Amino acid sequence: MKIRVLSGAALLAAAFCWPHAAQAAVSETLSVDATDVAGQVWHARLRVPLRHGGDVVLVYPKWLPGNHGPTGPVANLGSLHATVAARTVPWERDPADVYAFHFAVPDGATELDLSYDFFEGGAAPGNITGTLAVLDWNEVVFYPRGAGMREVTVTPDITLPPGWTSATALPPVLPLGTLPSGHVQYDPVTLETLVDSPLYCGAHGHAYPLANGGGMTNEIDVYGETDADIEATPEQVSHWRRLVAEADALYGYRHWQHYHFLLTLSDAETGRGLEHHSSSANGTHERYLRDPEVYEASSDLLPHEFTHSWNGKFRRPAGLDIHDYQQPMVDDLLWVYEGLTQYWGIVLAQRSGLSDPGEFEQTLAAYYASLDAEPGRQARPLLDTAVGQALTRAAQSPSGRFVRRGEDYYNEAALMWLDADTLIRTHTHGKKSLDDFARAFLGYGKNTPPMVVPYTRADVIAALDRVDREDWAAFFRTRVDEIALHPPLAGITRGGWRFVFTAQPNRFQVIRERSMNNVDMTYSLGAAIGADGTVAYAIDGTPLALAGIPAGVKLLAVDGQAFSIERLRIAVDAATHERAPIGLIYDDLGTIVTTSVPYHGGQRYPQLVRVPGTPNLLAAIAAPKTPAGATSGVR
Amino acid sequence: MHALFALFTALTLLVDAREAPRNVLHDKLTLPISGGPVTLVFPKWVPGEHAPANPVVDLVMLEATVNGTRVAWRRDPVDLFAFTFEAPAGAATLDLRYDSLLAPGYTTSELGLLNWNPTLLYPRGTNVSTTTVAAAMILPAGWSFATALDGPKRSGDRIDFAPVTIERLFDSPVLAGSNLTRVALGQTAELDVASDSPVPPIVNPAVKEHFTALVDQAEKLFASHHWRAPYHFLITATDAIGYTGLEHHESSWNGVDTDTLATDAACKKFAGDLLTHEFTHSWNGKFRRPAGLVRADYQADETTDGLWVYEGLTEYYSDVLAARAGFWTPGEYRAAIAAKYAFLDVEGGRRTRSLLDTTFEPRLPRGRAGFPGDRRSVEEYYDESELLWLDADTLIREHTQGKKSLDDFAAAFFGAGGDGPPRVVPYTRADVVTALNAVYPYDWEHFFALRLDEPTPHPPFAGIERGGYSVVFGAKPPDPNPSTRIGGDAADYRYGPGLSLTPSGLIRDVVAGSPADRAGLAPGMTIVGVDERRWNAAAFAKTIAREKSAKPAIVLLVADRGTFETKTLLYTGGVRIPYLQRTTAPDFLDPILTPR
Repeated sequence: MKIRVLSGAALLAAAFCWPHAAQAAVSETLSVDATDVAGQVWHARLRVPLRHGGDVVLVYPKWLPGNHGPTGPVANLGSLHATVAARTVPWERDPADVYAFHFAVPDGATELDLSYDFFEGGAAPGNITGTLAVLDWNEVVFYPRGAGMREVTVTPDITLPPGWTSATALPPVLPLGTLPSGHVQYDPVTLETLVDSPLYCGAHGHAYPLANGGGMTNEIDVYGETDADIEATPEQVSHWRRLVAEADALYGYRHWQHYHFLLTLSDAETGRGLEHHSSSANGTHERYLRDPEVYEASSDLLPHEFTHSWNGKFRRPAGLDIHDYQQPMVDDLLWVYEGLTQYWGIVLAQRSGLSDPGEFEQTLAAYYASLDAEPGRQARPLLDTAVGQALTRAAQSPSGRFVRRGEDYYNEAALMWLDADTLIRTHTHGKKSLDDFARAFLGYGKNTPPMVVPYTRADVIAALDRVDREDWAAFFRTRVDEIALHPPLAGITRGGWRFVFTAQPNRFQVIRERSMNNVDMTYSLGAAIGADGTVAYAIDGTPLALAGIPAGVKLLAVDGQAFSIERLRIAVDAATHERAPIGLIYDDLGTIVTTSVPYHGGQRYPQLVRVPGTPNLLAAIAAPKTPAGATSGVR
Repeated sequence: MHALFALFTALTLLVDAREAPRNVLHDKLTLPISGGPVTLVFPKWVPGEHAPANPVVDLVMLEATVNGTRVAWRRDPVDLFAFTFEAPAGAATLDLRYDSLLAPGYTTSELGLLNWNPTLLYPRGTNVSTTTVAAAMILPAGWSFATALDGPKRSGDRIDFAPVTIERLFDSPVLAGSNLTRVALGQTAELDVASDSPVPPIVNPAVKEHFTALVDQAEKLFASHHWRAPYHFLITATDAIGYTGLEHHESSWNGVDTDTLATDAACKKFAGDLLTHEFTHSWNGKFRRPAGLVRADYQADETTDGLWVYEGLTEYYSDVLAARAGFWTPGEYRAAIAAKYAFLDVEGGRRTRSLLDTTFEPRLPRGRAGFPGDRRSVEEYYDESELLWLDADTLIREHTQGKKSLDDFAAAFFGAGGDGPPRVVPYTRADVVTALNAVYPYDWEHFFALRLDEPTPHPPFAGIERGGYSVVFGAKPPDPNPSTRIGGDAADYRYGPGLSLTPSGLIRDVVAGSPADRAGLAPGMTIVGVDERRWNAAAFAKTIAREKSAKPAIVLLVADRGTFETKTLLYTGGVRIPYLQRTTAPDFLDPILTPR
């Protein structure tokens, strides 16, 4: 999954804390042994205070913030052993709830000791390599059934492999470096803060300070497979610092005090992006700092996850503001939580210099084209991609992406927010913009510690109305709730650009092709084809599908030559000048088929082109709000 | 179910399967409504899968109309399997069109196993055992079909079936293909074999005899059958799908390789694990069913803690029937039992996880899988329960001097009511205990508690021991293990150096305390070099096979995701394959395996 996910930490003393059902506090002690990196295992010990003997029920976090779904990885939990005063206590799982465990505790017992393992290994990459690791505390904690995440206090500590360092938003008891080697002890925190504060550790780490002032600090903690992988250039550091400054300029206020961008650079750990209140868990390729293309491909990763500190963690849809990890989430506002974040992510990438000039337009063109190519949009509204997001990962048809629709509440909603931004700019003659909404709705008028202020759709509409009076209810109804045959295009056209297909490859697509080792002919043949010839998908009604070629088959030959991506490109180009169709031989689960595809349209890629004589609002949106070299108080 | 409820035909379903080879079904559903908004559900729990896994996200292109006018739908934000349709007041009929995307592994260009459960929605609260569907299917041009459904009427490539309850429809998949062969097995069962080779599928005469004997032996064992003849073995015979299966009341899906039925030898691989297993489920699982798996509809959560009977006793009898029907020799049966025992015995996870807890495994969220040995692998409730039932069977036989056996329990428990059409009779653990006590009074509750509810250091061994055997290890077992499911890794060295590997050298499992464990090897690592030679599976096998005189140190170059390390494996024990060896005690296994 494109993990753009996770939830917030409210400090105990947060000013806006609302009352909860009274439940006496539970104070747990959690020790994690992270030294078994070869086995890819976290060994954990947990001490839970007891108020009574008999049947004690502990639960394991199920609905995970930022995942928006019941994804708690309980299947990877093992070696569970319980004792009271060193005597074994039997346990059994609740027959009706696989996340709940019953412990038969003798009367008079005051503490229950658990030891267990969390297995990170498996078919898919886990979070531990031989040189770095990412600990999500939700993987290694239980709590009493019925206890809220703000009513449980956990005192965590961790033992690291020799020579490793760690980084997390959790405050250590003692300054780092004064502790016995490998052991770090943290202050007591709420369960909510613990789960919201992943820990990165490794043999090769470096912290780059990004901002410092007014009692607030911001740093990026980079872990890689080697020291050479984590050396950032001064220009890269300046992008990160500019990102913090631009976010300050956009939102006006902060809801964190000490923020950590946590970043792993390892090919075993790519594709991580999970938001937290005072940190974000990021992971990309080990070549990130050395290879401009990889740097470009990840340009919106940090801006996206950073934006979530405001949009998602601080301001949060009411349906995601759960107080117990066993409580179901409602995902109907993910088009704000993720969609608006996707928008600010690509905008802040431009404003901070993380993405190159022109990348904004290339990205928007790629979003629009891909969404517009989905047959599924004729039947499924954008809202349902949000409401049903937890199901997306359970899809069993690997080739059904376009007919099913994907997690469109990211990119289609980003186009919708561009639509809203340009609408405001046009109607107010440039006096107002979505920046004003962001400052009011997400900045919220003051700096606060981490806390949650929930919102409804009505709140979003009211806040927009205060910036610019429009029929926002109808605006969202037509774009979110109803079938929309095309994605929002108005933001692009009002922005002074026209969407076209040309033979000029789209940069966004080219980068993705290289990372996926395939050729993306979505807008010509209607298919993507892997380097080994496997057809990843063939969209209904497009040339490959019309020729009867299903997804999953393997192309063996193109125009009589053995298949290669280059051969296919040559054949598609050649067919634009010739009457003859493109000849294909493919293998469908052992059946060899010879066929031809009468396609003569050549390679087609989405692009935006300027409409002369119109205001270039996209340029205005992408323009930095801070002077070049601006930082937030870093010397 | 009771016949007191009048059956009424509520739903009309047409599944256009002409694009099934492209893994998509086009569905049309018509249902009566009483005006105003109506909430339909997509089935969530599929019987036999024991998980809320029906792929609702692969239900696509959902469009509803009333009298030709489009009607909007909205998914319930909490129950993602429920859809509300904004039908106008006074509307009497709702028409739906949608597509069901199929996962790979159900169809090829020449055949398909088509289930109904991804093709139907029905009003929330529908009684699935009384509400009927008039279902029809359009097949790819020229395809034949086989199914347990009643009254098919073929017109061109369209088949209309007699109205049937939702429950029976879901329980009756359709096998279809361009090359489908029917082989009668006496009066009560038949093989329906679909192959994607242009040559008609060959069913070896000996294999056919085994199937015929299987039906006969099972009917004797269970003293009944609960289907309306003929029972359909629906078989997809193609390497493109391979080993898979699902049980039903009057049929079963059995996925085998292209040539599995062509020779006696090839068929062994699929016998106990699949062919006899799914058949046994008609009695144990479909007719008698753990109460936690019996639900009013497919939306209610199942409780899976009865799977040690549902799957475990089925596994026991499917291996026994494989021997009684002649698919396996007694020696092959013993080899399978030895392999299962040895595999389960070295699992690290068994020290802390009870057998009962593994029955929850199918309901756990599917995410990163973890490595099996540490956690206990997914399906211990099959194989370890089999050893538990062998324990119970031999106990009864020994204590009654051979006068009684578990067969008496099977006849009483699964033969209740005699032959008849499909129905469901639920049972609890207490019912199982009571039925066992009726055969042989014993503290069965305690018997199960010891073996199920608590972690045990070893799998049940008493059945093997009481059967007159012990488990030993050696390079040359008397019989090969016919099953490839357990211990079938390309390179299984669990009982010698203590690891298993894929052909490419990826370590899948490391046994705690073994030489491999002491060498610092772990699952997920890949062996790149062995004694300064590039990894080669056959060469590694030769290295391990070296006898005691060889030098003990095997130097391994290991890649742990990008990081390279050298590890030293100290091992001179040679090849160690588990098998059963006779002891001096009487042989109780032979009587178990003797045809009735």
